[in-house]
Amino acid sequence: MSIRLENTDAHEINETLFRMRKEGKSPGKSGQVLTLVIDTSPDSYEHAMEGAQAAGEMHPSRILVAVRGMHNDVGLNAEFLTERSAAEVIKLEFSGEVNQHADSVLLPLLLSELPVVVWSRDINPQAPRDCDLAALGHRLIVDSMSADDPIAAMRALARTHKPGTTDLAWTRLTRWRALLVAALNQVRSPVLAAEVVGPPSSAPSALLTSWLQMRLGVPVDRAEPVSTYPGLHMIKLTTQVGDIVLQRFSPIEASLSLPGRPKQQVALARRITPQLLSEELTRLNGDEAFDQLMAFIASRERS
Amino acid sequence: MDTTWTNPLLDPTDRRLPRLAGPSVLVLFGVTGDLARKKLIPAIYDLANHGALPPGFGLIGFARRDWTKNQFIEQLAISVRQNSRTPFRAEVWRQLVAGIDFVQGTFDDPQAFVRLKETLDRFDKNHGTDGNHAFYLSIPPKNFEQVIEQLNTHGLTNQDGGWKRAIIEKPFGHDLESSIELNRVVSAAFPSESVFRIDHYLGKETVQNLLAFRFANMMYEPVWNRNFVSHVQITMAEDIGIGGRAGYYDGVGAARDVIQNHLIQLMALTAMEEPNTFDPNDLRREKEKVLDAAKVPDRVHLHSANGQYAHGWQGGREVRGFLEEDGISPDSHTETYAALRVDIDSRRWAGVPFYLRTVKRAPRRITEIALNFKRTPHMPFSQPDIEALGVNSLVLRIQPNEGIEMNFGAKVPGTQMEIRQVSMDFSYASSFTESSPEAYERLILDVLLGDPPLFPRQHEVELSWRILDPVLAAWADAGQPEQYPSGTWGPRGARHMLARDGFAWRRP
Repeated sequence: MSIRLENTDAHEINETLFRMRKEGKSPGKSGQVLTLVIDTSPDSYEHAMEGAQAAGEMHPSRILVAVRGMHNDVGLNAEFLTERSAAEVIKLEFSGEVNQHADSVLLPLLLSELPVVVWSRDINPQAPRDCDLAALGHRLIVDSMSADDPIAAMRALARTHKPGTTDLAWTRLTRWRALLVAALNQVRSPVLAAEVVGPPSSAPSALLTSWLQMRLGVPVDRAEPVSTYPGLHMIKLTTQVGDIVLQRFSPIEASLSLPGRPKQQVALARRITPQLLSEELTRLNGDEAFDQLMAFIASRERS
Repeated sequence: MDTTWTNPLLDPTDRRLPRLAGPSVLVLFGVTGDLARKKLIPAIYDLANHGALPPGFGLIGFARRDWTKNQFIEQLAISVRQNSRTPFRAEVWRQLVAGIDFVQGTFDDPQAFVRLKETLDRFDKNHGTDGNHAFYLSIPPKNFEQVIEQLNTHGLTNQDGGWKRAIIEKPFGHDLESSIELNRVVSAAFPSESVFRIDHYLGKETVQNLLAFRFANMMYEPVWNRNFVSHVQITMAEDIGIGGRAGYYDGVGAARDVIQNHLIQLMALTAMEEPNTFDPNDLRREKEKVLDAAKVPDRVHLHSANGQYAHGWQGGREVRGFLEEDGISPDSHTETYAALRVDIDSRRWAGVPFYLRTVKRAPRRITEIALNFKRTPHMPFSQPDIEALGVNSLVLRIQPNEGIEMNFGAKVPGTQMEIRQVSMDFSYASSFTESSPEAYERLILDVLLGDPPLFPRQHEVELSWRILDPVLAAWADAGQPEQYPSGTWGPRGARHMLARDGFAWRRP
């Protein structure tokens, strides 16, 4: 059973948390490793909660779900969702003026000294870093794929990028990149050209294209797929000794062919948001390789 | 192959990328054994599930059983479904099955090894595994020589054209002499950097946790020495008896089974100085240095104890004594309890005894390292105030529920000045719930990556035997070990052994 506080403030929320811990209804601080602040609109709330719960199971934490733009009569309501997750999940509903002062509620609720990660569910494509809650922590997670125009959002992100910010569009690529690195390790031959096939609106495809350009310094073709599958379809690296081709043929599988070797089947399941978020939460220091990529994309945009 | 080639996609700052093994084949000897079914096969599946195995990875089972390849795959599927850590996913299984094969044969049959070679050649051709072969000898040590000789004669250990690596499990011999002999056999076929010795009690994750705790923190180092620590107790207790392992256990005993490898390694990691880096060579150097300075006291019989569990009750069940177990002779001298004191001659530890003990049929299962601190030199309290105060202690719990426990005194609320022992607990599993890889997963991946293992090399194994051999010799002369009731923490002799030094065993 969840506890709900109407027309409340941070003081009362903290008191309630303390009481719940004493009564054993909530995990104590020992064991918790971070505070996750989720900035979301009422529309994306359910999706945000799914991510929060899964993340809470992987990383014991206090999860503050800030739902802004509610239309309640009072400024702030809070709900303690203890039964839904191993973590301390608190839903905060902001209405009216306090919407603009959400940080004044969140700051007293952060776990002392431990890292704070902000996941901004809804992205402002013009100024993706323009999340007033980002200042609460040193880690900001956004998802350019949640924008109406993911490519524009991704580019804007690159222009305003600061270390500590990461994009779930990049997280989606980890497995693909690992396979490419391993394939090239095996072929050991200079890459002459590359090709990425994915829908034009796919931010991961665009990021991968830029990454290959940055790392390899060769032209990378971007082609549109024939099928309507929404994600990355195929990557081809043309080396001196032949082509490396990594091709998705189902939402869970891909094939990998290397020059002079039989084609192999690889498991490559599409990952869902909770999995992506969990990967991000293991990277509390940010991601230097992503910082470099953002700088590369920004400098290309300028020239 | 061009060794100067660097992969342009690889970037050391790209910490997100998982380490993927190169193309390779793992040959499993003893694939029908318990260990393979319960640990190795599931670990291989879990690795595949994380995407840590390369496409085209090969797994060849070698066993006497008259199985077809498909029967073999069925058996594997059962052990994966029963024992894997991660959920079963059809697409991962499909990828794995594409690289599975079975070779039927016995260790003395040259034809079987000819078939093994043919199978490996076929894998290299069809799966692009490039002659990279790892041999996991999950077999009794008495068969090592035969299998390694067969591998050698059939050209399976030739390091040209792909690496060849061997994995062997403890025990590494039964005394100093036999461990040297075992090493001679193994190193005749594999260079030392290609031999991976695994102690499955002590995973790499645990070792690294210990190193991180000691060397990434400031607050423990100042007290980690003789000025503050009075003595150290390292315990590994099991609530079970020998079960069906009589054949292996009789004549080996608790000290050889557990102390020589596991507890002495834990002691080395606890007592060693800070290595220059965590490079395996630097680490090994420090461990060897501290082992070199370690020895049991001269009058061994006063500072060691052994025992055999007797009939009794363990955790609410009536259990047989060791001498009544099937396959154990009633006059067996094999010990199921072993405890000994080790002194380390160094500036850091002079005068601080390390007590190592292992117990079968103990009240419960636990492995821990406990640093017990000295009492404060002056207590501004009266005696009744501190009656309930124990000593400060810092406990590194290895298993189950790996973690850190700190015990100290706190005032009981109220007008009386009364101080009582309290405990503070950190557990890895509750802070890092993302399940950590199993020891075997780390090991298999290290082997395939060619990562120098944190597991002991031959020299360390020999140093450990050198510490233990005098104790084994003293026990061999002393007759049958003392009986202790099942479900207790050990024989009376062990209590006397600590009482002589003015200490008592912790109740873990």
